[in-house]
Amino acid sequence: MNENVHTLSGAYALDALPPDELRAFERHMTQCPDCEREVRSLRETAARLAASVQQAPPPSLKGRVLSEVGRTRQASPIVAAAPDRRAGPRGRLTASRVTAAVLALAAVLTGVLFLRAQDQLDAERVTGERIAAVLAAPDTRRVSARVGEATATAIYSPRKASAVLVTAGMRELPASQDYQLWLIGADEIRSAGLMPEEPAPVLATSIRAGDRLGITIEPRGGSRQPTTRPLAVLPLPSS
Amino acid sequence: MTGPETRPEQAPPRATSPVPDLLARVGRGDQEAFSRLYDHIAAPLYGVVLRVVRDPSQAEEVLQEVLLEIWRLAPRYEAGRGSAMAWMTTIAHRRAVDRVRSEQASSERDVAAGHRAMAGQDYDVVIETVAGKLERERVRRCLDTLTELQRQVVTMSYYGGYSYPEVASLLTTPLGTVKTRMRDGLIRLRDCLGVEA
Ligand SMILES: [Zn+2]
Repeated sequence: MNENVHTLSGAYALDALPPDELRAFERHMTQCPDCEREVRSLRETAARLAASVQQAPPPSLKGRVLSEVGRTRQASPIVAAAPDRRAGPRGRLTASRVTAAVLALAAVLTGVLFLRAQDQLDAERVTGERIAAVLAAPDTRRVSARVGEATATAIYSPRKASAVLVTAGMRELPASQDYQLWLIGADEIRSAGLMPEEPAPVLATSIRAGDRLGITIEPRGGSRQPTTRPLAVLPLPSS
Repeated sequence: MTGPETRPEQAPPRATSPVPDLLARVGRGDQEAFSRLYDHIAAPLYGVVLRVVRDPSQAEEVLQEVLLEIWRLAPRYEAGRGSAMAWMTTIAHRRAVDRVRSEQASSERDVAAGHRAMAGQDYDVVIETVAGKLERERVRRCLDTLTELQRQVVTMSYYGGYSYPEVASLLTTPLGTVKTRMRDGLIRLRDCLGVEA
């Protein structure tokens, strides 16, 4: 990411970025607290631009909105991971880095995600709610590992047989490759899906006791079985 | 530019606004609170949506979607991540911009429309609320402290819904200059308005 990316904060706050740069900047913000802070203040400023052109809508709107509200289900709240923090045997993250990972996750879920186009939002919301359910589970444990310069943190709920994987600082792959996740059991390896190109939390389900979570680089679209050596393997301790 | 009133460009004290508290209650499913919240936010949100989409019936449609979105997502609003008003305004503005950008075969949105969207020329809309009038004066005063180019790029993109490459081509100004002016223009506006975040 070149240095100029910081200057996109203004255009971002004005919703003036084209889609490709929007994604790049949102990715950048999850790792640049300065930009994140600046955007927050510039969003407040933009809100003042809005307030300065206020004008009442037609009065009939209120009744329509209120009756729809009565029929519309609310999203479930995002709950941060439980304070119970047990680093696994290979966990190398300090508390503050774990916090940073969870904050990055929260930024993706609460800030960035909700500002997308509606259809994209709908798909992401379903995943977001399932992810939130794992994070809110009372039995979560966290395991982290370094992947080169990057970090990968899994938040695992044995009760839900699911884990949420958050990565920070992963190297961008060429278009011909994807990161793929694997559940590595005693006698078989199952794919747990591809990692999205943008840094977003990934949900792995149907985890069995004793599984470990591995990350490999595979040809675009993924493989049926891993074809490269794992970049990281995270144990998922059930107790 | 400094009037006799003390610091006229300061934001109204946020502590007195019932909006954050109402949004928190809405987040707990309180429909009565939503009804009251509506009275505080409908005008500012409608104003900006109308600015961007320009057509009143479309603006109303977009606003309705925005208000339902606010209802739905209110349980996830976190006060630590910005003010309640900024959060809701962002949803509204983004939705309005999505609407015009998806519609535009870019033929509809010609240069003339872009120029109309600039501050000063398209500023004489009817302001129906007293709060709106005060805020309009403050913001206008601060917009006057920006350079011409800063003001143009900020208002064209925010009120006109143009992306920065579109603004660059409408103003025949280099891309890099436009994005830099957007940032330093907004920063100057922020500092003039005394925005805290
Ligand atoms: Zn930055």
